[in-house]
Amino acid sequence: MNQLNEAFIREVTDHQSELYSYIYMLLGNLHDARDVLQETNLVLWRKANDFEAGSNFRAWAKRCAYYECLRFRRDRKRDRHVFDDELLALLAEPSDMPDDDAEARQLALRDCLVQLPERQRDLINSRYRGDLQIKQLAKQFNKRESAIKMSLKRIRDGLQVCIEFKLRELAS
Amino acid sequence: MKERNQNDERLLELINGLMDGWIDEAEQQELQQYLKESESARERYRRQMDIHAQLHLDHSEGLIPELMRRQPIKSQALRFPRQLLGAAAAMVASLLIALVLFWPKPEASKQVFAHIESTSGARWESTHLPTAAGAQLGPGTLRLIEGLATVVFDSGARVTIEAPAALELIDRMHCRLVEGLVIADVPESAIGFKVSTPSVDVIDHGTRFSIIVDAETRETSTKVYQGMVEVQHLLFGQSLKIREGEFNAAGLESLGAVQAFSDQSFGLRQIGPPRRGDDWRRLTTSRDAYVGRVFLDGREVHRSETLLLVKNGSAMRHAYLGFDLTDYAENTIIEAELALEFAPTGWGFASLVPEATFLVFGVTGDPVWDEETLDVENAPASHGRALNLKPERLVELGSFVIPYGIQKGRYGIEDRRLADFLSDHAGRPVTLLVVRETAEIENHGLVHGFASRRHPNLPGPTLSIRLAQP
Repeated sequence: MNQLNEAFIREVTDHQSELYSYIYMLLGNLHDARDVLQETNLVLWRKANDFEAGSNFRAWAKRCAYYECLRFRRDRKRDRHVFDDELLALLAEPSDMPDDDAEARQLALRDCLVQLPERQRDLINSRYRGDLQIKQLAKQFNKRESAIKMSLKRIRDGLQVCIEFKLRELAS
Repeated sequence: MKERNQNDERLLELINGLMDGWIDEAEQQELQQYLKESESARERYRRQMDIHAQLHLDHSEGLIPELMRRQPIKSQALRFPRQLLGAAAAMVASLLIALVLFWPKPEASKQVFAHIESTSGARWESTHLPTAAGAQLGPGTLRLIEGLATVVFDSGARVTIEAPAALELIDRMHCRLVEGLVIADVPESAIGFKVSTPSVDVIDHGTRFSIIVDAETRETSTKVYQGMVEVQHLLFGQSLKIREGEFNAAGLESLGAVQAFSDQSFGLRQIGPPRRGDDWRRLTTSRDAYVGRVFLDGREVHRSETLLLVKNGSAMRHAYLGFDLTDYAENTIIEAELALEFAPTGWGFASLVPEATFLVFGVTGDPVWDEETLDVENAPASHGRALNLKPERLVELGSFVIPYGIQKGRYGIEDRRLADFLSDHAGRPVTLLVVRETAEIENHGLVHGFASRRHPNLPGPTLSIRLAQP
């Protein structure tokens, strides 16, 4: 493996979770996102020579991922997709925060999680670690489904507020 | 201002519905409309989806589960992968990607010594490996997430991998089970075939055997169905011979003794071949179905058209069997046996379900149910999503046990109570209910399954009854 390859692999690996999140955002389905991420990795590798060292890897990789999402949807025309192509294009547009640091965002999220009240953290743990669905969570926490939905919504909203706050704090 | 807040609340609700899988088609359209209308809504959506994806990654085993699992700091790694592992995680990930990317193209490689004979419901860790049936294989590691796959080595050894499992192929006479379960059939041509595990080498002397490597403890359980194998401890070099009907459990620092299957740890009997004779009749189900379907992101998952699924855990599943006894008079059935052909479903981890006890009930009161429409709302013998049983509708007819780690074979009951129930209810259709009494130890435990009447090659549920001589 030459040095260019190593540097390239590092770029690809460093951006895995960001690409996964991006693809999930476009497709709205975690399972599909994982499949498309794998395909995207292959495409990135095949096109490694097109990539100019020093240019914006993230933007280039996301562009490739976007095309892979389109291809995936074309290949599965008959499946019902969450959004139409027009919205997909709008969603895929890079956000207007050029230096948005995905890793800082991840770290901020973890900090915010630690700060959650215990019951909220339990709910998040059950939802994600146990991969429990609303009905199961309602049973486990002995609450109505509507209450669980409401709690999850509030927690996620709160996490977003907390993340933005931490990032602003970091920037200042 | 107030309206905008309300809009934002509704938008957030719809996004959460998408994340948690409860959004319907009309709501999806509504969400789409919101997102098309404003960039701020899209930005809100991107941020929320990012949080969901990151939480999902942080709480699951991430995108590189196999390699992370082998890191000694697993528990912290799962909680704080980036912070604690940092560069190490990145290097591991690089290695994984390098492995995937530089995997030798099988057609170009001269080192091909095995092929995938067949797969069933197989899902692999990486789509870049040649994993289709017929694919030629050289050295490397196969990681099976779901289902079953059979690899045949050029030496003639046939190894079936049951997910979740990782098997490293070394050469035509040698492989290494990193974790999971394999069943090996080794013909004479491949005597000496070796399966290495983290604790032992299992050397074959012409047999059929199974090996389970526990992902957590690295303990190896070897069980011999036919012939003999030799188990050699990697650390101490001691060896043991294990013969038909025996098993051995070896840890990283101990070899353990040879024990018979009939020992408690494998305590159960598979039922014998179908009963025959002039006075015996064999009936297959006239209808059969399971209740307790699971939806994820709005899509039904872990379903089977051909198996009846049974589970007792965070989700519950019960199987209903209908037999038509219209042609038999009451009080003429004097013996009965119910046989179910279990097969791996590929879902859940066998290691999270101990030895599993199944109960068979007769459902009383001429229950009405239909194969196509049976669900949690109308199941005759349970109520609610939790499938709580209605004892007033049930008569227990017997139980059977499937050992730890075993997912296939013919099991069932041969019980006086079954014969009595059938005899009392002859002359009309009868309904039996199969549930798993044993709950899983934690989430993601094994989903058991047995062949339905729609299974293409396994026999469906079979009732054998012996009639009183006129």
